[in-house]
Parts: sequence; structure tokens; C-alpha cells
Amino acid sequence: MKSLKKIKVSLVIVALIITSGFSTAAEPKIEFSGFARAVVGHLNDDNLVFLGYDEGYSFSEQSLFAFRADASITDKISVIGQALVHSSDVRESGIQWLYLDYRPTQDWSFKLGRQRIPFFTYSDVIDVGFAYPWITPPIQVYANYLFSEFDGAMGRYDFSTKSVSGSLEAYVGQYKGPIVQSGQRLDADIEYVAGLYSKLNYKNFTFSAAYHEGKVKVDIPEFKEFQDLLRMFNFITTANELGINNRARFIKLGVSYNSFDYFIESEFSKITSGSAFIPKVNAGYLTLGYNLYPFTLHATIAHSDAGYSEPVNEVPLGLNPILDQVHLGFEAIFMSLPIDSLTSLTIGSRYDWKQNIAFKAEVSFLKGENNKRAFFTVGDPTIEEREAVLFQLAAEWVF
Amino acid sequence: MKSLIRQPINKLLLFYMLTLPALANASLLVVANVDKPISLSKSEVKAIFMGGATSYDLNAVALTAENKTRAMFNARIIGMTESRIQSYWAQMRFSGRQKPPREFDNEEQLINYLVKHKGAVAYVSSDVELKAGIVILYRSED
Repeated sequence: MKSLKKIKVSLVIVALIITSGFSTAAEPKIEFSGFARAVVGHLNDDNLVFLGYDEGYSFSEQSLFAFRADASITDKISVIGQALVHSSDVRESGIQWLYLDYRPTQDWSFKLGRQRIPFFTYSDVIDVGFAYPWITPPIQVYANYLFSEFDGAMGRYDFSTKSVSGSLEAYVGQYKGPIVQSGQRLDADIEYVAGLYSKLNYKNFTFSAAYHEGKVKVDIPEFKEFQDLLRMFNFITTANELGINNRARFIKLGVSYNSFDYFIESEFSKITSGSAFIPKVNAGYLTLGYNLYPFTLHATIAHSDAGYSEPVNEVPLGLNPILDQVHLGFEAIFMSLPIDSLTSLTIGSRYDWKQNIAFKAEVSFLKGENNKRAFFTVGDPTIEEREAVLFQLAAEWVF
Repeated sequence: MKSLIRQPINKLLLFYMLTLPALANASLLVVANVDKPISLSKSEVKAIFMGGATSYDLNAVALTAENKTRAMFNARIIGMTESRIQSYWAQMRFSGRQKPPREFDNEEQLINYLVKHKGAVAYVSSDVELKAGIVILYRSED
């Protein structure tokens, strides 16, 4: 919260400094907008929970409301803030965006402040259900980022020629706050995060490519004592494996095709890191959609393949029983890390009732790797099967 | 009650009977208030009205979603249905990238706005009377 206060104060100061350097006839004005979604879901399995959905019918996993204010200071400078209230206990409510927007020309734009990271096509608007065809975007791609916000600067350049158009975004920043890692909320210090996101439109095709890199530092409190023990025996590298202090890299490639009758969307991502705690993930999806205005029908195949790198275990085995226990205890920690390998087929429909209100229905057939987590929360671990069907209905609203 | 239900259906039929043949034959023009003549490609027109950049200093204005010329523009130039376009603008707005063009109810209002604003660009049907100072940048005969 402290860092957010700092941002607010900094933004006001920067806005005042910049505006003092411009003479403008434009009247300051404030625009308000927002979005909301109500989602109900049900999973047909009594042992598994997926995205918080179980055999019951839950409204509280993905329903939310957000409010956005856009204050134009001059015709080129504005301050934007967006706050969100989420119904889920896992997601944090609060300020998602708070930044100064500066557009010196039609081609260039800059943002300074708290923003969301554009890892994938819909990452920065993942809460705006109206913006995409599904109720839940393919989880294999969209659930795998560790953190979603950063405090920093972003520049964007738009270009257009006779036959192609596109944009290039570059950002750099940092983030201090909670992240979700292996289903656990941990306090993280992202020393830096930086990335490039490019998009090229040619005829009905859109090609996109992105690279993101971040230095993640996380202390995992439950391993503190074990780490101290390893350090006492001078197994420093092994002790360090029990915390996260590494770079994580994200690469994504995407192709989409839009015509009046149908559309194709696809994205493929690769996550790598130097930490034995951060999963290496290859994931992707392919969506085929048919436009029957005001209806849209779509089908998506998605897949993720996850795994971990081998941690360095310096503790020798077979020398004495205590060291054997330490060795095996260390191995056990990494053996128990969750593996989210999942294949899914989602079939859905969307009905655009009004220009700003849409209703959606969706069914997802989920098949995870047996005996692994596969994005599920498992009730009875002795039941190995990771297969279920998720039913969802949603109302999406933007204003 | 019956007549109340039948009335809007009849109106709708009448609307399509009258407008569809006209739509099929009409040209679509992209016009602007500019000093020098400019010739735009279809890709450039699409970029301008979808929030992209241009090498010309042009500011797009558009028609509201219910307008038949907008429907024709969506089909011929953008190549997306109205609902896909609305989704696209939701993504652009709430990611802070772009805002949709300012919208007007009819083409007469658009032309009046263009006359008063240098650099403003809009799409209109070829049936619409262009005023002095408004230049055609692109013509779609599809």
C-alpha cells in the first residue's frame, strides 16, 4: 500500500511538472467507465475443484466489478486509475492501474505508474470478460504468469504502411507484493521486469510476438529452518534452492485471423527460469469461432506441458543416517511440487444482447495428467484420475 | 396484443426490403477535411478506424453501431461483426491503448463535424452530399 501511495504522489507531481511546460486551450475533463461480470460455474466431479468450482454452483469465483477514471489534463496528458472489486478470496481487490498517460504524437504513447503486464493477448484485460469470446480464457496459457502488475514505464509505437500496420510496446519496472506460486500466496520482490510486445496486421491476419523477463525474489517461510540447517552444514547452493532468487523468462507467439464470418485465434507460450520452484511450461491454444451476429460460436483446444528443473542436492547419500534424512527431505520437497499439465476442449457461445452487454455459455472438457495437479485442487489424493467437465454461464457488461 | 407484436416485425421487414438493395449498390467513401489530396489503401483505412497510426495527421470519427453505413463499413473494410468490434474496443479501452472514435448518429452530423474540424476523417455512403472542403480519400465499390 505504501508503494501505491508513493506512485499517487509521484504521478501528481509528474503531471504538474509536465503540464506546467505546456500551454493548452483544452479544458480538463474526467471520463468514467468500467466493467462487470457475473459468472456461475459447476464441476461434475466430487473429488476435484477447478478454479474454485466444485459440485455446487458458485457465483463467487470470477464475478467482479471495476471502475475506471480517465482525467485529461491537456489534450496529450491524462491520469488514469482503475479499481477492481473481486468476489474470489484468491484474487485481491484494489487498484490495478494508476498511471500517467502521455501521447506526444499519434504514433507514440507513454505510460508511467502502475500497470498490468501484457504477457499474452488478453493478460492485461483478463478481468474484462466482454473483451474475449470465452468465459475463462485457456487456463494453460493464462494462469501461468507469476505476477500481473508492475510499477514502471511503458512506451508504445504504432505504425502503418499501405499494406501492413502494427505496434511495438516496451516496458520496464518493478513490483513488490503478493504472487501466487504453486497455489500459495507469497510475498515477492520483483527486482525488475521488462518486456517487448509486437503486433503486425496484414490483411485479415494479426501476428504477435512477445518476450518478457523478470528477476523474482521470494522467501518461502516454511523452508526457513531447513535452509538454516543446510547452511549450517555448508550446503549453501542447496540451501539457496529453497528460495526463489532467479530470472524467469516468458516467450509468446500468436496468430489470429478475423473475417466477417469466422475467426481463428492462437497463442503459444514458453516459460523458463533458473529456479527449481518455478515450473517450466510449454502451453498453447487454438480457437475457431463462427460469427452469426449477434451470436458467436467457438471451440478451443488447449494444452500445457509443465515440469521442473532438477535442484542441486549437495547433501551426500549413504555417509550417515542424519545426512541421508536431510538429502531425502530435500528431494521430497521438490517431488511434491504441483505439475499443471492439462489438455482441454472448450465449446462455447456468446450472445451480444446490447452493444455493451453479452451473455455467454461454455462447457470445458478437462483432462489432466493422472496423479498430477493439472490445475485441480484434489480432495482424495489416492484417486488418480484428473478428468472433469466444467459448465459456466456468464453475463458481461462494459460501460 | 397480437397486433402489437406484428407491428415491429412488419417494420423490420420493410426496413430490410427498402435498405438492402440500396446498401448493395451504394459505394462507401472515406472522406476528410484535408488541404492536400491523399490516397489511402484499404489497410490504412482499417488502421485509422481501429485506433492505429497513420503517416497523415488524421483523426477518425464514426457512426453509431445501429447505423447501416457502419454495418457496411464493418463488413467491407474492417471484416468483423459489430460484436467482435465492440470486444476489440473493450480490450483497447481497458488496457489503456486506444479509445474508439467519437460517434455520431447520422452522416449529416458527421459531415458537419468534418467541415468544422481540420484533419477529421469519416466513412459515409456515396449517397451523402459532400460539402466544400471535404475530400475523398478512399472509395469501396464492393
